[in-house]
Amino acid sequence: MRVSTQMYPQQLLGQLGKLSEQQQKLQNQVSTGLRVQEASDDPAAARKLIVWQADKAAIAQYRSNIESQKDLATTNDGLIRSLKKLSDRASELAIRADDVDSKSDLKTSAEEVDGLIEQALSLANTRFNGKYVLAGTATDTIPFEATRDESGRITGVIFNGNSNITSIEASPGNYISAQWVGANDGAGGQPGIFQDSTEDVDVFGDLIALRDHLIEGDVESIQQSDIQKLEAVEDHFIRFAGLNGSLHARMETQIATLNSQELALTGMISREGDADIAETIVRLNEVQYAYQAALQSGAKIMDRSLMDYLR
Amino acid sequence: MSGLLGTLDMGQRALQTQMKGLELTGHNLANVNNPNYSRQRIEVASTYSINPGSHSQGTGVDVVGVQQIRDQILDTQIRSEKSITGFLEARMTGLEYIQTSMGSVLNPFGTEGSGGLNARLGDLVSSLHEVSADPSSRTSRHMFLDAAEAVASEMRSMDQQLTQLEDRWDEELNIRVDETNHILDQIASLNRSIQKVEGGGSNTANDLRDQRAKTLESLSEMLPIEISSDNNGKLQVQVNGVSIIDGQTVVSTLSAQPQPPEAPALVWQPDGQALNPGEGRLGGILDVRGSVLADMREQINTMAEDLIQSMNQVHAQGFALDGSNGRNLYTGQNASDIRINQDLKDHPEWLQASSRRGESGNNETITAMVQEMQTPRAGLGQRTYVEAQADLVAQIGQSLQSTRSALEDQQAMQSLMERQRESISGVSLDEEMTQLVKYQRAFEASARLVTIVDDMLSTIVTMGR
Repeated sequence: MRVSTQMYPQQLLGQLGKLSEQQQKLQNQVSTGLRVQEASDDPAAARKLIVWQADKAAIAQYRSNIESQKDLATTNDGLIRSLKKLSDRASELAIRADDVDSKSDLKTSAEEVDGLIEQALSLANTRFNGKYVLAGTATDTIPFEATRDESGRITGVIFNGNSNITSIEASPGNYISAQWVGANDGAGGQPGIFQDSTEDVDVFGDLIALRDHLIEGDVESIQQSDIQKLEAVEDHFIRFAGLNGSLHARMETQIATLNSQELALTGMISREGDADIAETIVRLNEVQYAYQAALQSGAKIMDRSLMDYLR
Repeated sequence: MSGLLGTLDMGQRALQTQMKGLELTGHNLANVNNPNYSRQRIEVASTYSINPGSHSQGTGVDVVGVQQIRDQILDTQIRSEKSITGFLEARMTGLEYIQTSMGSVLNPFGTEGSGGLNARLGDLVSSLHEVSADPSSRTSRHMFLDAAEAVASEMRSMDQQLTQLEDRWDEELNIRVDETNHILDQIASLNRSIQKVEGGGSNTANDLRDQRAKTLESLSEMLPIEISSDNNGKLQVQVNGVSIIDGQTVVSTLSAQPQPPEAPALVWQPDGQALNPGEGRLGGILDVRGSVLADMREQINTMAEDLIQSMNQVHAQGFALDGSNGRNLYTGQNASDIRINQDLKDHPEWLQASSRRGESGNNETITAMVQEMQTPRAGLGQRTYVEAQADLVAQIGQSLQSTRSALEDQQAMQSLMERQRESISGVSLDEEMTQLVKYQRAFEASARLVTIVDDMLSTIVTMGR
């Protein structure tokens, strides 16, 4: 092939341009650590990265959802522990009524039970984050309202909430809720912690009955019914404590699953989108050598012509 | 026999011929760095022979012409390659421009920028979850409404950027159309000059032809052309069968007629015939403007329409904190005017989060919105919003990548052909130096002949003394 004088500089320019472009790209990869910087670098990887990054953000959100329910479950833990203590004390007083003969002693017990009722009412209207915990989805409504006689004693308690709960998504399509409702009138929905017609539990009713029997000195009614009813209440509370415990465990498992999913996704994102620094640096060196070689050889070739040898 | 005087004549012709050769070598050397130049050679022929008796005898040499070393077939090939290169270059520039000007939207990988639409969509889902965890909280409602507005504003800004890109490309098309018309004028005027120089005689206007070849290449970069020349050397240029240049006259000029929102139409004046170049820079610009940008706009609009419709539909089934309902979440029709309902921004308690009237802790409408955001949508071809947006990014990336590699191949092929042409037509310093030596020696030899004849003549003149 005939080689004209223009061919050397033209070819050299083309080669230098290509090598500079490669150098720039590799240098950019080394300095940012990212292999895919523009969608055109690797369109298939770009698409995956976007979807995976969204998935990763979703996992963080699911975890935060579960955390919020964990806080609520912890509040419920405290609530159930206090209620259990309260019902234990009421049972104790009921059982002791048999041994105590004097009416005044029974009256003292009755006073104490009355205090327990007030305490139960205040627990029933527990708030968390400014919302009534046991009001169902009517979180702005005070769930339990007491009616009192002229001496200020609670004679009955009515439930103003509902038996619906707020569920949150813990993983795609999987909803959980740590919420309990105060009462269930038997028309379906969640089991009620203070009143549940399906289990024949009525915490306030049972406590009020016990108090009134103590006042009246009706030891027989206490032995015949109140003790059994309070035992049922205790079982009811134990059941709720169990439910809460298993919910805690389930949420921990779910968080662990989400963590391992997140770890896997992070690995995938890194594999697909990050530059292999060692490899990139080696390739950058190669390109730099080629660039130098092109410059040197070009300079040497273009420096010589027949003119150097003609006089 | 030509005699001494005849031989002197012959020597003089030879000197002139070598001189001419030397001059042309100088011309070649001078143009060594002119990329459009084709090297030239003198054509020499031995002059008439005299035949007085039985021996025919030559009378030396003379220059019969100057030849341009050029391969016409290669020229034609390079022109058609340049049309393809022009198309790919314009398309790549367009796509690169789209990729950079919509940087944050299309490149959510780097650390710069806030991640574009897909990050905003992620924020929207997160804030929905926050509302779902605490439906009556004003803070989380505010957060959600802000996130929903951020998605809308990202879509609006994409729409605006597309409009700006469309304007820019319309302008680019106008500039290139003007340039094309200017090139047409140049070619016609070069034709005129060439015909003037070559008119009737044996002269060839080599350097003007070089210029014209270069200008024709510039034209084929713009649009694909066909060239023919008749017996008299009159050059004709056609585009898709429409005659553009006939010798010295420009028959048709190009005009771009705006037809917003569509891409401008290219029309030949004065006969009004439409042009769809397909190739060339003009073809590339129209492809970016009419196909790539239009496609992007359609995809973004589809996403925006679907988002407005689905969110409003779910929102319509819910109730606000005060029990009221019947408000839209989003207003607007598509990406150009999607906005969060200002009433809701002013009154976050009117966000219809609850599925039943009067239940402030009810999050079922919000949960349904999360579902809308996360499940594949029929309107988006069974893709989620994030997937649709990821596809849009990947699609532009894919187009750019394939255009880039097609352009690289094309440039490699074109430069191979150009090298081939350079190999044929380019000036080589070494070669010209040897030519220089050749002509110098021949000149010396011819001069020697003249000296000798001179000596002989003087011998004859002094013979009688």
